[in-house]
Amino acid sequence: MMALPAFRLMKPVSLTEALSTLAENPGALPVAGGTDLLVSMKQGLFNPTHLVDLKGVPDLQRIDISEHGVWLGACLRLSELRDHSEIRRRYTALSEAANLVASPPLQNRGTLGGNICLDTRCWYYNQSAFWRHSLGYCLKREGNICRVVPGSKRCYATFSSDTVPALIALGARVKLAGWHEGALTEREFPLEDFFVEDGIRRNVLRPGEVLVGLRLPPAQAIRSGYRKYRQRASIDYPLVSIAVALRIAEGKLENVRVVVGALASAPVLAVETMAVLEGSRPTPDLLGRAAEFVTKRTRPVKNQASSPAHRRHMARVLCRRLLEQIVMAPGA
Amino acid sequence: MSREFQWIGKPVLRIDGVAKVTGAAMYTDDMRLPGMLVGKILRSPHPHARIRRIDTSRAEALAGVKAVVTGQDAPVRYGILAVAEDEYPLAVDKVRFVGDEVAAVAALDEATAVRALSLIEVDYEVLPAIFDPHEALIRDDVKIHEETRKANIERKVSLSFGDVEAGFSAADHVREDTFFKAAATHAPIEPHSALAQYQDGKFTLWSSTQVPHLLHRTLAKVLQMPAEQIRVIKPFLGGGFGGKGEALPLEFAACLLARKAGRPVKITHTRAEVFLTHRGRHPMHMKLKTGVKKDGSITALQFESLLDGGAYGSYGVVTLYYSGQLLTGPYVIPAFRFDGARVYTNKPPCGAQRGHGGVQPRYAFEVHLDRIATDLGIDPLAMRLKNAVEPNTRTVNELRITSCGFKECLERSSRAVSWTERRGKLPRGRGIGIAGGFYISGAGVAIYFNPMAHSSVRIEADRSGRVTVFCGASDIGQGSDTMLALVAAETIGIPPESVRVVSADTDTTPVDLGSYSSRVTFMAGNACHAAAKEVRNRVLSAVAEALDVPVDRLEICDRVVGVPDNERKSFTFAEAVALAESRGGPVCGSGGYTPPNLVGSYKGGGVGPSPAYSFGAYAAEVEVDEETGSVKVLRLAAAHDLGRALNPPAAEGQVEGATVNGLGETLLENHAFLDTGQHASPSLLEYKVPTALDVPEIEAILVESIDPEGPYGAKECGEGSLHPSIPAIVNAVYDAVGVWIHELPITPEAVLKALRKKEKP
Repeated sequence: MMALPAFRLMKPVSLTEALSTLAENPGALPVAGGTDLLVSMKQGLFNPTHLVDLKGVPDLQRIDISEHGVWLGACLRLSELRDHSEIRRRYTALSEAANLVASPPLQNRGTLGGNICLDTRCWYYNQSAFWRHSLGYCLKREGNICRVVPGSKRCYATFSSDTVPALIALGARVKLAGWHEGALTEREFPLEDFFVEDGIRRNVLRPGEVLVGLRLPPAQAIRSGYRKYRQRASIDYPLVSIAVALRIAEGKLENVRVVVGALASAPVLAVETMAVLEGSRPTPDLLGRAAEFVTKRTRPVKNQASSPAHRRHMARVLCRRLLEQIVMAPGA
Repeated sequence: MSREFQWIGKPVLRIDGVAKVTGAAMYTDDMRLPGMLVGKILRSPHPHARIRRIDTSRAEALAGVKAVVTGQDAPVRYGILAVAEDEYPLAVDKVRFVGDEVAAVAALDEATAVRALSLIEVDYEVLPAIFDPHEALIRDDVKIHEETRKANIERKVSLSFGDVEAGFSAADHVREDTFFKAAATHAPIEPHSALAQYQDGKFTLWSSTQVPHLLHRTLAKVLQMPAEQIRVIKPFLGGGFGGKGEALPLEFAACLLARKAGRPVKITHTRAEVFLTHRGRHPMHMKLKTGVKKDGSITALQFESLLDGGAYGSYGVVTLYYSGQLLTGPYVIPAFRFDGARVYTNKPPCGAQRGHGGVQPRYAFEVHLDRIATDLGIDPLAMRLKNAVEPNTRTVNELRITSCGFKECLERSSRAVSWTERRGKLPRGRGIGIAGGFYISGAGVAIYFNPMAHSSVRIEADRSGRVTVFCGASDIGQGSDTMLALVAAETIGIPPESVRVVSADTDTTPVDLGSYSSRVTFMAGNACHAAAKEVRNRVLSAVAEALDVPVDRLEICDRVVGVPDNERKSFTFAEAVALAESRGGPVCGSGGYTPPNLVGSYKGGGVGPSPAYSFGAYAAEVEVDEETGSVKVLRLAAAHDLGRALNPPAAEGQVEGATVNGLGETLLENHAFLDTGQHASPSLLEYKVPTALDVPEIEAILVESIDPEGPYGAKECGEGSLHPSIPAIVNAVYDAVGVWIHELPITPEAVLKALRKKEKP
């Protein structure tokens, strides 16, 4: 086994304590389940001086469901989301996505916030220190070139979270908290605005800032689902993923949201597909036509198993199949 | 004496089962010795380079570092095969793949050892590298090993049997196909681990090895010490599959460091190092040409193989020979020609992996055979039955076939999937396929030439009623210790749970060559049977004297020795042993097994012969999604002729495990490299071993042909059972969607590509 580098583990019991600890230690990183971060630390991708364990902060474990919507604390375990009967019934896509993250043991350990803040992934990055030294480093870590797109000035590492496409499709808003001059700061905005199309920066989280939770709007008969393409039936990160949420009113599709994962450095709203579907009466032909546009704004590169062309193809197939399944399903 | 078996053929609990499931079992990495240091290996970042200079002074000066060793500490060449001694424990003059071992350090803790590695300065002269075996065949300007006469060819082989030309002339139909099977690796859950101790001028090495004896010999050679001063012990071992089947650099490095530091040193590989150590399945390019009569009978077969060997020889010459030699069954091949070559490339060395040598050609031949059947309009099952080998025959390359349940395997696996009713008649996207195979029950020739037994067993009984079996065989998880307990128990007549097994310790156990070539049940089983008979006879003879009855009236049953149905004329087993002990000295038995001389009358005739062959035929059912290209295996009916199932659940476990291995190699696993030489997927996340969810229902069908020479009629079970699984799946894909896949693994993209190609006129 690779050795975990030394760090100091801090165990705050309140959000303010967690934020102030992070603020006082610029080399610190927050950790929850650790299923992504600890592996990366062993590979020498992160070398924090301190890890601030958020699992002891009660505020972050909360889940509230009411007619006004849902509050999901960042430290909820993925298995809790997967198994929550109300989430499964009303926000199906989220439950399905949580069920498809890695494997059940990792779902028991990994958290919602961790899955949202998941680092972008690339063949040339998620490797041991020896491997990266042997090949030469890359833009994302220690180097100055991209190994996938030679000549590129930006990093194309892949956005790989399963829950995020589902959450964006369901209209989630994200809440962040920080510590500024001894006081708590907060901001909240749509989850899609949290991500940036840059494999290195990947999101707008500021140093010391923590994702505290998500707000979902009332479900109101929303129909949703999530599909994931991977080589094996478990464990693997997505090669492509699709989340869809929509309502059907008087035979027409409304509030259609289609989100593509793993085909860019950030989740992609398939606005062309959404435009074709919005307000239309769903027919097999229409759903197929809409799905054809789903990869329009994606830019997969050869940094994973399977070719970019095949991953695009799979996005279209999964999108059409998911739309058919959601539209055909008995009314929500 | 004929009697019902008391334990053989019935489920027996593994003797190490409780220790394993409770976590009490000590694996090498679980061990700690006083003063033990942590060892780490420095590896080459270059695929091919000359070492100009190594400066270890900064590493040695680091606080906490207790020893640093390089190739100069043991510049002795070795190799598992005498014909291919092309490795050094640590690189001496050159490195030949990314990950090749260069130096090693021992330090007080792991962090210090890792830091010390970064302080070793190696001055490399980077050389051009070769990754493509076709290039390796012809490039003379780049020499991976100076010794190769032409380009980078380690070995070429040409063998011909029967009249091949006449065979093709007599054929009504001749078909040629080419195939490629990508590399795969063992991926054992336990990473390699070695703990060395040097005390009073003697070495003790605890290591995760499949071959304690061969490791023992190689250590003596490399460390330049008498073998009697070295002890090798194999603790519990968590999976080998061939990857721990030869002496490996970490074992030498641990010893060299322990001697230099004067303290015990343990080296455990990281997962990435397990992938770099490799010694797994050779990528193989294959060309086949077969002639057949209209009725499907085969007239001649011509086979060419090109093996991409990686940087060192390992078992490769044997792999090369097996690739051809094991194609002459399980079908009657009247004439056969084989041309093969193994080349060096700048990648981790390939070697032996479960099903060694036969897996790739078996895939190619069985798919090729289905294509011929399709050409002729013959049902693939009928084609196989027509050509199936019969018991007590010889193949064209002189392999002696004794027991053979191949036809029964074909019949039972095909029946399990209702072949006649369903083949070619399922809805599009759904299909069934069948394939055969056969494999050796141990190599007939030892890995190094010697006239001694391939396996030896010593058994002692004591007055407590305890029986202890001592044997060098290495239980690597396949359950060979339980097999020894079972054979001893059955033979003596006591329950398996009163047998203790001491195995795989070169100080205390007699030699067994090791766990490779699927030899242990057959060879160690036979040796154990002979030793147990001797113990039984000693006990019976003492009891016969005490009771004053002839020996042949006595039985040992349920820990009671005596005249059946006569309580007054009986003893407990413990009392009986005490009687035997009273005759003076311990109650011992010993036995050895040496295979009959079956070597062919031609050069190369030593690779392929075995005292017995297993046979198998598997039927697969698949579902192919024509839009995504994904192949889902729904079911595998795996019929394997293992002679006799000594312990049926253990045998079923072997068949199921091998089948899953085959499924992984068919659909997922590819041990691939970047074009700069780095391993493309050195982790269990990216190297795609099937998960439980990827594995279909497997029906293990145990076919018993009762081998005349096997222990209680048993033959091999763990390796041959891999062979048919791959082509059965590939042939089922054809039945489902009408395309043949000639390259493995079958990716969804390859299926889509084949489907598109087929659509075109």
